[in-house]
Amino acid sequence: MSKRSLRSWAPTYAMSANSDLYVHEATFHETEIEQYVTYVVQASDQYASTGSITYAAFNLVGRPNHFPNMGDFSDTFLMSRYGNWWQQMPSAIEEFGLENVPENLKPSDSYVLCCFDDKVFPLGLEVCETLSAGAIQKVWMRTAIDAETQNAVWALLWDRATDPAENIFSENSALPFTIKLRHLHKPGRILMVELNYRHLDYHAGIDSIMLKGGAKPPVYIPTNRSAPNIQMITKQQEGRNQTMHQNSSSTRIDQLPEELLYAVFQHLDLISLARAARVCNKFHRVARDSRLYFVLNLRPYWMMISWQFYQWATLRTSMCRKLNVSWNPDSDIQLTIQLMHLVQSCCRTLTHLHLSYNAAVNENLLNMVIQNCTQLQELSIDGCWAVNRLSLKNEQRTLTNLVRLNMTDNGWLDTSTLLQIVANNPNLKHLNINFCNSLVLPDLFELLGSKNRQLISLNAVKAGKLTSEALCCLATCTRLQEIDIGWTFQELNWQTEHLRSLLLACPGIRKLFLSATRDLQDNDLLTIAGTCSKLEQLSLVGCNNISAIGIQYVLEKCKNLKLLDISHCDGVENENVLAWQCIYTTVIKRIEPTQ
Amino acid sequence: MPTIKLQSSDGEIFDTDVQIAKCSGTIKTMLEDLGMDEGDDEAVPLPNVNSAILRKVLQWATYHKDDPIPVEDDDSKEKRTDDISSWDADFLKVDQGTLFELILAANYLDIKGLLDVTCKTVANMIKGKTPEEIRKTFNIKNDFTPSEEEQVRKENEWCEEK
Repeated sequence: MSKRSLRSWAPTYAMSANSDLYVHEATFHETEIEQYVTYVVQASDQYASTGSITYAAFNLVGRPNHFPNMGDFSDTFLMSRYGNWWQQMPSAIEEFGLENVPENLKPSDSYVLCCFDDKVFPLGLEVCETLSAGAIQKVWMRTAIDAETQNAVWALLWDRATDPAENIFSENSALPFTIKLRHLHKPGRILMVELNYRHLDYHAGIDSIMLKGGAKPPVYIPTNRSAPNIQMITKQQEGRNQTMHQNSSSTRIDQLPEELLYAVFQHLDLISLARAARVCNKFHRVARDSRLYFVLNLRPYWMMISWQFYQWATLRTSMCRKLNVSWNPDSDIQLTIQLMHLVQSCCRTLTHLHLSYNAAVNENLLNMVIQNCTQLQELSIDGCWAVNRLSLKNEQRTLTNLVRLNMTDNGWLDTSTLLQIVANNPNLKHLNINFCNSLVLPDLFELLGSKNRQLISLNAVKAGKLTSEALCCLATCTRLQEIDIGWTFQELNWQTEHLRSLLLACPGIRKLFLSATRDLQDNDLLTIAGTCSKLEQLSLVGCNNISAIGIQYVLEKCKNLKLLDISHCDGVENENVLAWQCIYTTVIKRIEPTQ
Repeated sequence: MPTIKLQSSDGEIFDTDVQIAKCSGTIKTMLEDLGMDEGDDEAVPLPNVNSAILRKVLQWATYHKDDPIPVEDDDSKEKRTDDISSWDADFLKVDQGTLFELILAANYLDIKGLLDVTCKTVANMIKGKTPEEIRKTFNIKNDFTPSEEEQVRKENEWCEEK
């Protein structure tokens, strides 16, 4: 075999027990190191805008600041969502292309990618969770590049679905969430932690992550017999149990016409398709049928991403309509080039494209998408952190058929670029610019009000600065059902009349998030109570100038209210909250820091 | 209950409820196009299905006669392989030859539900196996030349674990 050149190294992965990477024999480690996160590379979900410190994943760095105290602390990492509230709103979309994905690869909601100082052979993890514990779903380690093979491996170290935890946090025992990690023959210092929020009661808050590991390779403990690893059953054994014997004279699978073999392959995941292609010529032909790849989602397979994987996909996506290539922590020019080929191969047929949190996405790729993917109705480019700046020339052709545009967490997005895209898409119904912190929101609102009157949802939490006057511009978007403008208002320019004119014009409002609107007063709550008869979700987090009287009005009048968040509302007493919880069916969230 | 006669390729006649026979798009069209009616003594010939398989098909159709009519395939529809009912799973505990003949029959007779569940069953037998294990399971001959095999291996090796 020819020696691999440095440029062509590709990460591989290990997750099933029969991988040689896992230590199967009894071992001990001479020196154990305990270390905290030194650098957070990226988080695909945080209640913070790019570059901001409040609630950012960056706060995972170092020792815990608050633990074992519990509460909502601005210098911890906070996830932006919880429960299934976000799924109930019109902006929610069901992820396409997950039907055939194997159970152990079902993707999590988000990830955080973090680094430690020293390479270690992993042993355990201690996570100090300060709010709504239980988010961690999987832990992966990227092994250091092997000098011999020039390869790095994403190795699964823990999966909540199959591996035990030493203690699950409970309110009474303020112990960190502690897990034993699978032992590896290779060291590493980069962790990919997958997180889920849908089963949680409130925003998950994490104070710190400590990685325990051996400084040197594990030392074997000699035993008479090798202890079998009972935690995991190898895939082959599972497979063999299913095998049915057959009569050699009867019909065989390779006698099925290709059309029926295709009908079988429709139910296969991508790994099974890649393996089936190696069986025989007929399987190879059918496994490349472009109809199998009309809808293609690579996100569940992020740990396998390499330019070879993108090349494989490129050869199959000539007719692809819905493509998801979100989640890839590696930036590498070869990866970017191949990803460009992949999107280009189907740019004429694509209606849905997701490129979120993919480190290989740069401004050239986005420009190519904007110029060539003319059929796009749905575009998600959340967290393209490798993009420096996207500038569109005045005469440049852009997308015109967008119904849904998700651009969460893009600090590089400037107002004029966003305005140009929005102006060209009069049918836009859902716009998400959460955490794009450098936007001039009044300009955007003015444009939306004049060009995008189909708008149904506008999510713009922590997306720059807003004045209440700008809300009047949106009054022409009468179909609005969902507005999140938390953390956008500067103080001293708030007028109730502006909010009233918007809410009167939009009787269908179901979600209204006004977190940290410090000037909000009981008057505004009276307006909400009087106009929003369909309101289901209301966030008033950190609105200090409202009182129990205003909230009482809302609870009384908004009969459909299902979720009310009044954390950090200093003007409301706990007794009020307890009393409301007895009277109303609305779920009331009220998180206060505890000492 | 009105019945019709179905004739398998080996000449066996099956007296069948019209409603059950019409699970098959092919038979439904034949009855409508040929104007055949219940009470007709003439048997509907099914030259592509033998009696053993037809018996199985009718057993399946009888159990599923009250299922809602499946809608035409589209992208948005979920195609899950873990939603095979326990009755279907038991029903499909047959040798491979029978399973593939059921697929051929379901396709010929245009019975979408049966085609789906049989294809899913075969897909489940492929999942999680290496190429060599798939060949063994289904008794398939590797017809690649060594150089083809090497090329196909390279193309598809991204999914292999370390």
